[in-house]
Amino acid sequence: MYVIKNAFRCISRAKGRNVLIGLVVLLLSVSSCIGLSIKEANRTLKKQYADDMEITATVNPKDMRKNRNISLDKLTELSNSEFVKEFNYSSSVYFAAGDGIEPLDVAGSFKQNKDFKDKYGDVKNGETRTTTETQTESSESSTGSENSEFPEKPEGGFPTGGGQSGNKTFITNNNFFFNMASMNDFTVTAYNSDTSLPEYISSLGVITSSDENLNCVISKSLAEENELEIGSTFTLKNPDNEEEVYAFTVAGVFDSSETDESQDTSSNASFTDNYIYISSAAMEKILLSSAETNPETTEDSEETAKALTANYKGTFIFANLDNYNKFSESLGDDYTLVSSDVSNYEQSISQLETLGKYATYFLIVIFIIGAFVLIIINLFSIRNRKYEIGVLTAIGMKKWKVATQFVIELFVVTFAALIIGSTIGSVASVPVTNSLLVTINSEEKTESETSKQPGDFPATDGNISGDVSGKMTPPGGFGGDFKQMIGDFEGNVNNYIISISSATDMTVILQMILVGMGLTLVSSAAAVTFVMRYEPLKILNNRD
Amino acid sequence: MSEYVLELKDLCYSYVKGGKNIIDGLNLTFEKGKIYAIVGKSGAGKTTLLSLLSGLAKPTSGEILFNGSDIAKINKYNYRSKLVGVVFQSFNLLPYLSATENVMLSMDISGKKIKNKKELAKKLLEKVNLEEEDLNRGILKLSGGQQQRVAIARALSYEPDIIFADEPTGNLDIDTQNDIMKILRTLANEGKCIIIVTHSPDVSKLSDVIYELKTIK
Repeated sequence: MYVIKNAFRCISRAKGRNVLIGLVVLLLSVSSCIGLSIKEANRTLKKQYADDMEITATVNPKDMRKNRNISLDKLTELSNSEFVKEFNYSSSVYFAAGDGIEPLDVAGSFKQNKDFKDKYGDVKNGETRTTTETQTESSESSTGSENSEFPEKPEGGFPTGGGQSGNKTFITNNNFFFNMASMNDFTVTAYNSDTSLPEYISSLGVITSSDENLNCVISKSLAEENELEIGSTFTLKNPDNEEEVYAFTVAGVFDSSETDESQDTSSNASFTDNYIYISSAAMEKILLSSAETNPETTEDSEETAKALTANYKGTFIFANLDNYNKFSESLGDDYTLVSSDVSNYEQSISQLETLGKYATYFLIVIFIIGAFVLIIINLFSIRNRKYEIGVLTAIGMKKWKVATQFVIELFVVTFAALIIGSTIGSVASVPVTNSLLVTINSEEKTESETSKQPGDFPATDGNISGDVSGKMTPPGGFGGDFKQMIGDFEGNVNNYIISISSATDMTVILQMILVGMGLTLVSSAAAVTFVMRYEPLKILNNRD
Repeated sequence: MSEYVLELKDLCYSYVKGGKNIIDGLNLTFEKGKIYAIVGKSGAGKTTLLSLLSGLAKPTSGEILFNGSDIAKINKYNYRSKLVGVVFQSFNLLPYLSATENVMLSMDISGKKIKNKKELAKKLLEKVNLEEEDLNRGILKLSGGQQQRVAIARALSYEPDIIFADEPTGNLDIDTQNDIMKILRTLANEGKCIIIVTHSPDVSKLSDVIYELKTIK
C-alpha cells in the first residue's frame, strides 16, 4: 500500500518529469488512436460492406461458345440454393415486324430519325455504336469474337443492354448479325415479378405481371418513328413462322435516353429503342400459343417454322458477400457468377485497404519511436533518482518494491496521458481519416486517369465475353443502397469512399489500453533493470 | 540463543577482491542493553565496519552473527528494515518527504503492524527535540542538526534490536547531543544494543564499552 502511496507522492513532486513523459505519451496516444481508429474503421466498414451489402448477380455459362443460354429450369434449380435471398428472371423473345410497326434500323438502311442521329451519329451498316465513345473505340479488341463463337441461330444473339453494368456492350461480328438476324426486329421482354421491372417501366404503372393482355411499353423513339400513341395497336410475327402473328396494344412509352443504358447497335433487336416490354403472364401466353401453333418443331429441328423460344436471364440477390461467395463456389465449373456490385465493392474497399496499410505502418513507427523516447526519458529519470533508490533499499525496502513503485508511477502518468490522448485522438481520427481518404482518392483517380487509354472499358470483372447486364438493379445501384445500409458511411461507392463519420469504438479503446500497457512495460523494463542493478552502499558512498 | 545480540568472528574486509584487508580478523561481541562506541582514526574502517554490521556490505571472510545466526543467511532487507536501525553519517533522508513522512516511511517498510503511525512519528520527532513546526517541513528546509534528529527518529521508529549510528551527534549542539545520548541510554536500558561510531570523546565517555579500531599498515 505504501508503495502506491509513495508512487503518487513522487508523481506530484516530480511535476516536470511527469509532464514531459505525459506529453510524449499524449502525442503517442493521439497518433496511435488515429492509427487504430483508421484500422478499425477499415475493418468495420469492410465487414459491414460484406455483411449488409445486398448483391445482385447473374449466372452465366463459363464457356459461352458451348452454351450461351441457361434454361429456366436450371436457373430455378440454382435459385433454390440456401444462399440465394431472392431470385427474379426475365424472358426475352425475338420478333419480326408485323403491321403498324417497323424497327429503328441500326444499319442505317432504313430509318434513322433526327433524334437518333443526334444521339448516335450516322450509323452505317456494319458499324457499331454505343453511348460510351470509348467503348466503341475498343469494341474490336474487347470482343475478340469470331463467327465460330456464336451459334448458328439468331436466338444465339441474346439481347443486351441495360442492367447492372449499364454501359457495357458486347460487340459481335456485325456482318453476321446483319445477315443472320435480319428477321429479328424486336426483343419482347417480360419480367417475372413487378418488383424486378426496370424503374423506367415500372414508373409508368401500365404493366403488371399477372396481366394476360398483350399490352406493351415501347420506346419513345420507336413510337415517334411509327407514329404510335397509347392505345395504338401493331402486330409482330414469329421470325420463323410468318403466319404466327400477335397483336399488341401500346400501353406506355418510355424514354430510352433516361435509362442510363448504352445502346447496342449490333442488331435491330438488341437496340434498346427496339425493346418492347410486356407482362410475364402475356409472355407465357405467347410462348404457350406458339408451342401449340408449331407443335412439331424443336430447337434443333431443320423445319423452317419453329415455335418462339425465350431466352431467360436470372438475377440472383444475395443478402451478403459471404452468401455470394458460397453460392459462387457451389456453381462448379460450368457456370460463373457475375456481379457489378461485387466489383464495385472491391473498387470501393481498395482505398480503405490502402488506408489500413498506411495506418499499420504508422502504428509500428509510432510504437518504436514512442518506446525509444520513453526508454530514454526513463533511463535519465532513473539516473536522477539513484539516490532515492539507494536510500530506500538501505533502509530495507526490497528492490522489486522500489521497481514496482516506479512502474506504478509510469502507469499512472501514461494512462492519464492515454485517456486525454485517446479523447483527442478519437475526435481527430474522423477528420484525419477523411482527409487521408480524400488524398488517396485523388491520387488513385489521377493514377487511374493517367493510365487509362482511350477505348478502355470501365473497371469490371472482365472475365466474361457475354452479357453481364441486367434489368434488376434499381436506379442509383449499389451506391445509393449502400448509403442507406451503412449509417456511418457517406460517399458514392460507384466511385470512391470519401468520408466516414465515426472511427473510435470499444475495440480501439481496448487496443489503446494494450498500446499503453505495452509502452509502459517496455519503457519501465529499462527502469526495473537499472533498479535491480543498483547497490545501495555504492550509491550512498558515491554521493558522500 | 546466543548471549550476544551481535558477534563478529574473524571478520575480514577488503575493498578490492584479493586486495589489502581494511578489517582483518576482527572478533567482537555486542550485548543487549549496552552502548558501544567504536572509535579510531580516520581510515581505520569504522564506517566500513558499520556497513558490514548493517548488512549493506558483505565481508570478504568471517561471520557476523545476529542472535547466533549469520546475517549472510538472513534476508538482508528484513534485517535492515526490521531488526536493525541505521543512522547514517549523511542522514540519507528522502528529500521530497517531510520529517514525519520520512519516519512513517520506515515504519511502512518494516512491515510491522504499528497503530497511529503518524502520532508515533510525531512523538519520536518531539522526543529528539524537533520543534512542532518542523514536523511537516520538507527535509531540505531543515538544518543539518535537525536532519540528524530525523534520521535518529527514523532508526527508532520500528523498534529494532540494534541501532547503528555513524557519528549521530556530529552535527548537534552540546545540549541536543546530551539529549540524544539520553535517548540512546534509555533505549539501551530498554534492552536495545546501541553501536555508535564516533570521534567524540564525550560520546565515548557515555558509552558502556569502547572498541578502538587500529589502522592496518
